[in-house]
Amino acid sequence: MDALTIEETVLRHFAAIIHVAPAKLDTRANLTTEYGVDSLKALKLISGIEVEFDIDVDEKEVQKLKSLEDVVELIRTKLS
Amino acid sequence: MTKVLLTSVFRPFGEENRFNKAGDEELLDYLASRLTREPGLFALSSYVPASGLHLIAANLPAETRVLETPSVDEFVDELKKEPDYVGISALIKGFGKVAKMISLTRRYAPKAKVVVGGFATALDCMEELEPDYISKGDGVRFMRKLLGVTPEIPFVHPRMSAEISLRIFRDYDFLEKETIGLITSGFGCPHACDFCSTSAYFGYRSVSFLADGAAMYEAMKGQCRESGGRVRNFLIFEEDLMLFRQKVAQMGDLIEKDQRDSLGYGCFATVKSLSRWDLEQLVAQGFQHVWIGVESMTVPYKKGTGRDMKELFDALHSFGVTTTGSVIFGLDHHTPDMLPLEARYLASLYPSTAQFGSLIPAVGTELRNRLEREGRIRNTDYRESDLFADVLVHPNFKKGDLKAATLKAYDDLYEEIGPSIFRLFDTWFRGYKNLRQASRPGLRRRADVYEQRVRALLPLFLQTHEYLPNDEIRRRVSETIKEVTAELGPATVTETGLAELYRHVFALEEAKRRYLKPVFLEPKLKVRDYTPSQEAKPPLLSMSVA
Repeated sequence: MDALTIEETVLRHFAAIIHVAPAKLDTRANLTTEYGVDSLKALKLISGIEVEFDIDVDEKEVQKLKSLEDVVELIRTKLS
Repeated sequence: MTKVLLTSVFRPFGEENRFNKAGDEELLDYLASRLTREPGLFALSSYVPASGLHLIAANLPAETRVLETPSVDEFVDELKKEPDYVGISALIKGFGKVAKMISLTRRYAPKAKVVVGGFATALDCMEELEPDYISKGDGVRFMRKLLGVTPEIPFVHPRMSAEISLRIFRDYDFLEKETIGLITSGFGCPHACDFCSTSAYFGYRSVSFLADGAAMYEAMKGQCRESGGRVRNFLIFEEDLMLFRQKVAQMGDLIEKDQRDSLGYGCFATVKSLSRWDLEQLVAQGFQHVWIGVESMTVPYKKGTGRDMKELFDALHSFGVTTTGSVIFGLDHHTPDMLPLEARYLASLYPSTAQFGSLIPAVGTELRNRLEREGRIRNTDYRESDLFADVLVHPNFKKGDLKAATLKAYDDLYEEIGPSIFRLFDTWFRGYKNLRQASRPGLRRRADVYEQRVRALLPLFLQTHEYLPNDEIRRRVSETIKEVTAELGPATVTETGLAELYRHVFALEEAKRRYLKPVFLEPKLKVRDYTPSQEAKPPLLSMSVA
């Protein structure tokens, strides 16, 4: 799966969680301060991408995720 | 026909990850982690099935499959069969797993409607996971309504059971295990203790599944019959069974009149409700074990009013009725000095099994609401929601103090009154001696049951003295064995052989404990199918240990 497809999928998932259009999302923005991601939203996001990409994400990896770009990179690394 | 998949949350439990905390796997073993949490080799073990799921499944107008502890892959395999409804039952601890299971369902069974039930639904944030339905409280009636049938049509009680053995015997298939049947009479309780999550969950009112004592007796008798007489002892789920006088009396009459099978039952009850009963009548009619929430020696709850606690425990034991006593650490009036006194008080009651737990302000309870108002809830994640959680802010305790005191209390109890299995043995023997010459036939039948149990347990204590906690307990065990053999005759050749076998198993298990890293075997997948208005078929599939 190429990076663009991964990014599109992540944006689609995240947009559904915070109820905004995918096109309005900035992949470099801070998830907590810009998008108000709390532990619950993070849980939904991670659950969604784990299922979508058939990967497992551990807690330490979750804690390192600061932006959607980080999420995409994490998935890319796990799939490579 | 409508297809329903009901499932518990997925395994593994013994792997520390974003779903589980270290030690979570121990909590699955209801006896070893709670009621017989003992440092030695005598702890008991039992895994209780997901009773709620089976109760729902047996009562739906749909083809229903129940999964217990599936792996993610096993759950996905079931989703691919395209059920119409997927019901996920979870405790608060399983909240994260519910999130993932909803995502899996959306992907692999996109047409299925997701229903979430169980105590996790007490969390307001459950809605954020966007299941299609949330079933709080009575799941049977909820699902019936959802499937378009009247909720009040008659209930079918599914056959459910749990095996009990010594924990160290669990994986030795050649050692026989005791099987107890599980009966759900109802839930909800009018005592309305502020901490009680079950009462709060059912709205402080009684929700009945088995309408009367005859239905209770039939549920037990049916299971006994189908097991070829192997299952004669039952645990009845009801918050305070002894409040239901008519139900208990009717069931008891039928048990006492049953000349073929000596059925017996254990239940949950309170000092208040038990104080209204003649214990002799109850015992003659199959009453054999009771869990009493002692909570504190200062009895701050109205359910503790009535007979003196110690006098009641002694009276129960004199009839051979075994007991579970539970106390709570962290009540408002507690200070560090009081906790050992609470533990000693519980020991003085000589409960057959015991539970110490921190005060848990479970979501949905009055206690939780009050402590939130007082700013006394520690921010903690859902994974830490268990009996030993440290979520309460108490002016007299630092973080970690209550948990440490709770775990120490278990160790102290073991040192003071010995292993639970010995207390059970001892209590049955006292009951036997007291009842063997009773005039009432029902009481003499109980004495016969106690005699069989004492004989069955005798070999366990013949060659295992070195594994008992201390010399005082060794002395007590020796004296009891002397009394037992004087009364019932010396150990037979078979019993002596069994004692020898137990000695070897104890030696092996002790060596494993000392020299090997603990190994936890994840629970197996259990699958059971139900068809409308019929009793469940036998399990279709039983996978090996993962």
